[in-house]
Amino acid sequence: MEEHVLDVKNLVKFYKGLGGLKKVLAVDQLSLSVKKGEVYGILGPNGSGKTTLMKLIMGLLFPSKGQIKIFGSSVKKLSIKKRIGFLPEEAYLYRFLSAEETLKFFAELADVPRREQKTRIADALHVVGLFEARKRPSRTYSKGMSRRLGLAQILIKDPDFVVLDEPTVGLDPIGSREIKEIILGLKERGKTVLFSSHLLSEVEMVCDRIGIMHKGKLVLTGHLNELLLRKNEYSLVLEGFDIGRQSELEQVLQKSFHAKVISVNRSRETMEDVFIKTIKKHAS
Amino acid sequence: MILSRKTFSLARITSLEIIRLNLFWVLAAFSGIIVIFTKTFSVYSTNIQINMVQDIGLVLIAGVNTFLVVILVAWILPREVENKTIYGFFTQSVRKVDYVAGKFFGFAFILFLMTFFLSFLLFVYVWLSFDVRAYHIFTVALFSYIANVILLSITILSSTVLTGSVNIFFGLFVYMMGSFNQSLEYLVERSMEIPLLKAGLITVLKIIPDFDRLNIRDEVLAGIPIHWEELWSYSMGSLLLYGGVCLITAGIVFSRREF
Repeated sequence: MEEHVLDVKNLVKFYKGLGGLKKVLAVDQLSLSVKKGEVYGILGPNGSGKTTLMKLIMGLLFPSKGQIKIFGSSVKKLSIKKRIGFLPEEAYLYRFLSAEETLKFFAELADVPRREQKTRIADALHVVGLFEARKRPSRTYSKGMSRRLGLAQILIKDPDFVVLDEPTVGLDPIGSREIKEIILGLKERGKTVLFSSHLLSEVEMVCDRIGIMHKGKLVLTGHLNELLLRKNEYSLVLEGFDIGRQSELEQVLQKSFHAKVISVNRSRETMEDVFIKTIKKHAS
Repeated sequence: MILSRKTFSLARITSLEIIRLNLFWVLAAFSGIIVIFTKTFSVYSTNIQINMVQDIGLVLIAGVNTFLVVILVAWILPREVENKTIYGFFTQSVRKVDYVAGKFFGFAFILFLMTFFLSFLLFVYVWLSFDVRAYHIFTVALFSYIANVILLSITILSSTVLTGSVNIFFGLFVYMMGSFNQSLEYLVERSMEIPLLKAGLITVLKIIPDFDRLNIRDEVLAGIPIHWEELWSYSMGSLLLYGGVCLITAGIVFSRREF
């Protein structure tokens, strides 16, 4: 039996209005499970209930109905919280502390042994690219830097389960790519990651499984490959091909393989690739 | 163990936050300047001057600390909830009571620093100006410190449910009621005619700590005898009672609150 890191069953969350009246249904009968070592992406438009779900999982909100188990226990247990790293939608930092001081403080809160703190902090700062700016107060950081500091807070803790709420929101393509690489790095190290996003490409790049949320419900779930691959349809990428001879190729494919060419397009790079290549070229 | 190592990490960061605020240093410098210049503006005889300098200095020590509690503490804690900085703690393995206690000790340390700095300055100034070693300055300042720590614990509790601006008014209200507690009780006893309202108001006044009782400035400066045993037991009892009840309740409120 596969080990589930997160198990959510029939979760319901109402936000109460004035006088305790039930007003808004933010999460509606939602069930999901995340297996050990997988990256699970929650996709959904703004207001679909992603952040509410993340807060419920982290114990910042309480369920109206249903249950949430992390590593088989309630998130209220401190021993469970030790194993979880959380990056909220915005990294809310103490603006008067530098990155180094922030990480030292959070290392103390996360019970990181004193002798390991220095190394872990330096490593995390290198990974998120803030080592040079480590002495600056975080109030001078850009949004992207604050976000990366938020991620570094998670890295020093070295948790088994990482929950990220819109981790790339407000970041430029380079910052966004770096965060995706960090998520992939976490996966390589066997960590379980749950993250929410409304950016489809982002989810496609890093997730094993996804769930699509709409009006508080999980309306579609599945493995990325199951959801994205079309049955019996393949793309052939050719180099040095003379496009003038397209009909000859189509005939060969039809005759020898009984395959019909549906479309012929020139390969394109993504805008993100072009942007990153250009910036890197000019930077070097 | 009631308090953990994390409580002290939180207390350290809380103190650091206040120390890195420009307002803290402006307040310390302003108070220091007033203490030093009090004598310059007075035209009275030396004996009156000694008392006046001490009186103004001690009022300042109590006032600056009350200002720190009512304005800064009352504002900083709700701001952590509003800014969601609190997510950083409550998603870690930090007990709510550790957070509350950490904040309490951090602020209490700042009050101690300010009280000690200003009373030491006042002591040295009185010594150098009048050749009088007024050790009682430290005693009076200590009791005003205890009063402010009690106010601090109440403000921390109210921070768990009130917004920053409302909390500032609440802190001021408690301070004012506590400072005129006995006079208000006397007034209510004499003037209120509706028994239920009278009983209600008297209960409220009894719940609010009697800060006036911890203000021994006039008695000390006028040489009026003080019942020290009674004062010590009242101050320590109040400190333990209000501190304990407020911090535990604040921890419980936080653990039942959504963020």
